Amino acid sequence: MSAFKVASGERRFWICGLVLLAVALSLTAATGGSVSVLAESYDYVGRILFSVEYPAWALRDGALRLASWTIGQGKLESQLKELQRENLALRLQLGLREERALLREGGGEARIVARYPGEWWRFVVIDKGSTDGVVRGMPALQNGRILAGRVRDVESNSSIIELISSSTMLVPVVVDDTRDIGIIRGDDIGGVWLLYIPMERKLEAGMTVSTAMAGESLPPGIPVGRIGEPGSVTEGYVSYRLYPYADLSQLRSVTLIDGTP
Amino acid sequence: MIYLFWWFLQDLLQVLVHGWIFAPDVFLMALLFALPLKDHEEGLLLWIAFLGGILWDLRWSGLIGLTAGLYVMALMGMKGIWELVPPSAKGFRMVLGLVLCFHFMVGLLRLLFFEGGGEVLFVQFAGQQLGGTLVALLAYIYRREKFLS
Repeated sequence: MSAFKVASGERRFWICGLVLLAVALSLTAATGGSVSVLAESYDYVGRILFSVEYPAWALRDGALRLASWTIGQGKLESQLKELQRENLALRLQLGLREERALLREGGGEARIVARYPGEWWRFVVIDKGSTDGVVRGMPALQNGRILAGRVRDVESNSSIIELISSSTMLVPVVVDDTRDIGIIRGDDIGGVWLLYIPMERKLEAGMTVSTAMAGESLPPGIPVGRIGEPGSVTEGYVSYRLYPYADLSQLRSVTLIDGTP
Repeated sequence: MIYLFWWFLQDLLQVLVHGWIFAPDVFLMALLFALPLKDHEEGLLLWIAFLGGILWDLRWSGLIGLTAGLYVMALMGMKGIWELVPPSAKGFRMVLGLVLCFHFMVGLLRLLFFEGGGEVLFVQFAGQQLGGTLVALLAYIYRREKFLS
């Protein structure tokens, strides 16, 4: 009788395991790659866990600040950030479109709170959402100056930033030296490419690239990166490797600016 | 309740190290240790693994169901192998070895799912395994001290 009980318990374990496994795989198949599901799920769970995780975030921020201070760069870094913001504000004032930085306290600077391993070079989650004034399409800058990505999805307390290394992020850019206009697109594995440059145009490695004015919410003149070696040629157009200024693997926070007129 | 503690510990570790390495799966390790060593209802452990995995996916992995599936698979694998181990070899060191082995496999499978990450993810994976080894070492020392005292 007891042997029968053990066998029945064993069977229950394996059946339960297989059922749970099937449910888990179905969930993965049903929701995999959906950005809106990612954004919503992070927003709910992040809100619930916020108070529990708060000490760890504070500890992490403190440790990062301490490390920065220890190597004697804390002050210089904040001065540099301030100068970069000032520079950006001045450039935008002089530019063709009026831009407005998010000036609410802490509004412009957003901390990266999650980065999904499967979408490493595509998305990051930040701790600012619609309640902080974030809207879809806002440019996300590293160090308040360099283009790192753009807001893809907004929830009330968090948002998803699509990085420039994502293959679905297309940004119109201009080569500063030659005024050639192209599009940059990522390859999802950390690389960024400048596309649609006519074959007869000879671009040199090291030329700088910044955002072009293209009638959308991305302001012109934001530094993007430097041109590298030429890549493939398709139908008369050459693609060039682009080395972004933004250090996408060391991204800890971004500055959001409001590009709407 | 104890597993809630381990889940939160894993979560807090992930907050501290995220961007640099993956936190070791201490929640999974606790469940794997419990399967042969504690007198828990095994089906319940599967449910805890599943729910903990889903919560982890919602918070950190971005692929809902992946971690849950891997955790459930690890527990099933642990049970299957544990039953094949001859009684004379069933001891804490064997449990420790199996826990580390499954921790490694879960990390590796997860890495294979996230194929686009390249070198960055590999470094994170290596860090996670080092962390897991450290946790196993602490468990070993704790167990030895407990027996000696």
